[in-house]
Amino acid sequence: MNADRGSVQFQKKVYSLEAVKKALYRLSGRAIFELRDTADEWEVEFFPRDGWSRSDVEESLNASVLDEDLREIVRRETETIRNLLLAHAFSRADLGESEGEDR
Amino acid sequence: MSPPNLRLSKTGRFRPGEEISPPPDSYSLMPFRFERLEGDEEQVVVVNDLGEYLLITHEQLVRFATGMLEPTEPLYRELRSHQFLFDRESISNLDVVVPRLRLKKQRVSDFTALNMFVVTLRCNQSCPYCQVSRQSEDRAQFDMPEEVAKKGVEFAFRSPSPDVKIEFQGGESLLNFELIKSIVIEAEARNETERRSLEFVAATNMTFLTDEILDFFREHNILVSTSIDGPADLHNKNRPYKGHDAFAEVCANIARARSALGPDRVAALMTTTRSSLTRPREIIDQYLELGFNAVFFRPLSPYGFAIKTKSFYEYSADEFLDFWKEGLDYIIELNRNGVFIIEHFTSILLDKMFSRRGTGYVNLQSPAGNGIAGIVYNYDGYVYASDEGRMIAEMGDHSLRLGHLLRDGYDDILGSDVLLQMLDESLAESSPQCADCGFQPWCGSDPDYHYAMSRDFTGHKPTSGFCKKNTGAFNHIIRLMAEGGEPARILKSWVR
Amino acid sequence: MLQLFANMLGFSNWEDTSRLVVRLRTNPNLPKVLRSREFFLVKHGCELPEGFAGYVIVGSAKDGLGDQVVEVPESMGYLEDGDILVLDPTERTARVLYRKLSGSNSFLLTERCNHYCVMCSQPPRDVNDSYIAKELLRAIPLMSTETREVGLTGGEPTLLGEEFFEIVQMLKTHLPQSALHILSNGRAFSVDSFARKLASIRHPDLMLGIPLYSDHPERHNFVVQSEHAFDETVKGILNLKNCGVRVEIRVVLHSYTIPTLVSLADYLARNLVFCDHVALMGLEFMGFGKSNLKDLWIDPIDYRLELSEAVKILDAAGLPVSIYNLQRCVVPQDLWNFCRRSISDWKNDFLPVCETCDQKELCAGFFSSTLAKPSRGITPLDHVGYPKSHPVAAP
Repeated sequence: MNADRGSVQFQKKVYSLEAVKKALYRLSGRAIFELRDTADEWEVEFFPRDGWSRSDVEESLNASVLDEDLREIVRRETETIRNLLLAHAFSRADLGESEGEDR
Repeated sequence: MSPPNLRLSKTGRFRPGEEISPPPDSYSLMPFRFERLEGDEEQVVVVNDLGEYLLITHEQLVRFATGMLEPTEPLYRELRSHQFLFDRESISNLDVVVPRLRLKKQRVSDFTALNMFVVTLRCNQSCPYCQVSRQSEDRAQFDMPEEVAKKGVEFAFRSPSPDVKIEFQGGESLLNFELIKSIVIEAEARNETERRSLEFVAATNMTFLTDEILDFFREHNILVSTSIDGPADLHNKNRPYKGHDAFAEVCANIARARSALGPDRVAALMTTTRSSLTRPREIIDQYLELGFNAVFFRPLSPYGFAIKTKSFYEYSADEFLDFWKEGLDYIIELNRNGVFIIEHFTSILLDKMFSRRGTGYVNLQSPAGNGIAGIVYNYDGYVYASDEGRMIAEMGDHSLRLGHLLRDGYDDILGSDVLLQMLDESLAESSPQCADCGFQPWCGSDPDYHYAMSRDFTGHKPTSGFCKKNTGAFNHIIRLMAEGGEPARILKSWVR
Repeated sequence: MLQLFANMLGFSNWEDTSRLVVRLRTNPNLPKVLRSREFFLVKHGCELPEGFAGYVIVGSAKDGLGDQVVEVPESMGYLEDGDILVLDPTERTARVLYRKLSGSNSFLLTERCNHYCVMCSQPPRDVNDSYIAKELLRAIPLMSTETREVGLTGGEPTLLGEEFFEIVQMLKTHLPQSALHILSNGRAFSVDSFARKLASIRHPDLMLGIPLYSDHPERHNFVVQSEHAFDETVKGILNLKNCGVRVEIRVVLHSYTIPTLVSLADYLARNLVFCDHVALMGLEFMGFGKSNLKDLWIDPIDYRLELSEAVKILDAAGLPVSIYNLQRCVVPQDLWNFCRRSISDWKNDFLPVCETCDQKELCAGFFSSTLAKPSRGITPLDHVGYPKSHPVAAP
């Protein structure tokens, strides 16, 4: 195992715990993570696995947390619509004959 | 081509476009997921719930997701036309996706289509990567009894699926040709009233093929599926036939089968082993030489159990991907030079990405194809949700058994706890990481693989070879399509 | 181009001066009991057989007339047995409503429309023309059951409401073997019950032709000059397909539709692929198509690439496609299979230079209205499809 050890902090008022955890899960093949927190921040301490450098993991971590935050936003905005669309897709109550799908 | 202004040169009663439909001041997101591209982290693929995708930059993604896109931007229009967003002028976007969603998931409600009958465990070959076959003459112990087969046919038609596909497996299936005959006749008799689309496939090593077999296959339109692992030396190393030149005999029989059944009634696939990895071009050339116009670079999931020759065939996802990419490059080159040949692993992924109906390939579905798309009736009467399931059982772990044909009813088997648990825990839509993964609409679940690797059906995707392989493959295809030109056109032409 | 309307006609011996829907017969030996409901058509100055309800004479009448005679000009000499006219003794007009021998009879239901398309060949008028539908309802039972195809157009046919359904029902009853093609902007069908009502008539061979000019709502709405048109039209199409009604998507090709033609094709291939047909149509220079020509005109030679790509996308998706109103010399040869001879016989014409073209028999030709401004690419072709000579400069 790589002896290098790194840490990154994430502002609590910007990123949720959920977003940070999901990012760590995604990257768990690249490093071993320890998650702590202070009053204002999530603190991620990591030990890169073989084949990954400290800066690799740091970069990935920043990108990943940002992306999970974005995913949270998108999920929040689209959850209701997604359920609505799926419900419509699977209920035949309002609909008559299905359209000619088999061309 | 930038659209000209939406106005006429003279006014009068005709109003300009801005007056009729002023640019909306806000838009709403429609469900989508995204991933950064491997090798170019600023490029992002956004994928909507229909599996449609667009390539955008990460900066554009941030603006898009946070409601900051301008309605006059070309990207805005593209996202709108592809159902990634809707606004007050395009509420119909919500309506058009509904029938498409329904069609994509139609397969699930069609239910089990593929029924695999393991008619015997006996085999005349001893392929090192095979977990199941027995070198034995003991029919009583290793052949499927008639009453089990009959029950299996009954089960096959219990499924509501309009397509019923019966596949004969083994061991070497033709060693129990008598049973194959009676299954075919039984199924056809039932189909007189059932009127499904009935199809038969016989998986065989084709080391022997009598005229009687060929006549029967021709009469009942049975497709033959065999294995060609590559050129003679590779094939014979993978699939030895004691005292014979397996390769030569298989080739001769392929020719006979072709002329008796028709050239499109004989299919071949390959099993990728360590020895295959350095020779993709040779393998493809061998297929061309044998007159096939399709090759299937079938990824073999190495199971974590102690298998007699584990080191013989195990390889990593990256190694498989390199092998596949080189093979695909060669195949595209062949197509550019007028040789028509398809690679099936690729075409399955392409169908998932671009076809309206997706694909029936049981190993790339969510919910998993186990049981609900394909089912296995083993020689001993036990029922499994997948071929891998019965292989795991042969290695001593029987926990994936769904039931027994002669003792358990259809509802008990298809409603068994282990099947439900398998489907539930492997469901991509609710698995960690898969739930948010950009490739989810195209990907599937593989409960068997993950069970074999880590004893749970969900698996740990960040370290899963299944995930790595699929992610790598999707990335590669996206890159090829983005480069455009002939390769992209060729790939697109394979989509059904 | 056939003359379908004539005025300043000589009407003689008419008691009732209200408009009349009449069917023409040319058989002087028609059984007497049947004559009282029919009008006799006189083409070559012959004797008037007795007992008919009236007489339509091409040219001048001889003396010694019967009851209810009208003289129509020689240009209407094409009239035949079975044709139906609307005669107006007060206005002294005759309008040909139906021609038995025509490949397709198209009936205008109203000139009113809730759209105002920038290229409309039949510009809407906000008038009370409810008499039109009523006359059609009277004419339908007179039509021949051998009629191959019948069309309903406008204006916007669905504005008729209940009468629209009555007409469709009547066509089903009296012409059950005639295909029915209805042109509509489709918006009325965005209300599901309206679509279901049409479907419930169960006309045996019905297709709705609905225009969709772009996958960009603001562009489509501009072309049809109405807000929210795109949304309602798409919803209408979905509802109709849901009820099993056949739908054809129509796109008129001009400078406002070409820029998004390819993305529209892509949109159709993904979202409306269960539609039954797509018609890509060359522009007709009539009505607003003529008055806005300067803005609308784009030479078909200049949109060959877009047209080609759009057709390929649609065809690859399995959508049947047709190209209408474009000449073979301006359409890429690999699209010729999609070209149809579509221009109604009464509007169809060719240029003098076309006389030597070997593709003429297969070519759609021109609208009479478009002869004045043909593509700069019009040139006679040989049997294979290569130009016979240098392109002829447009007059």
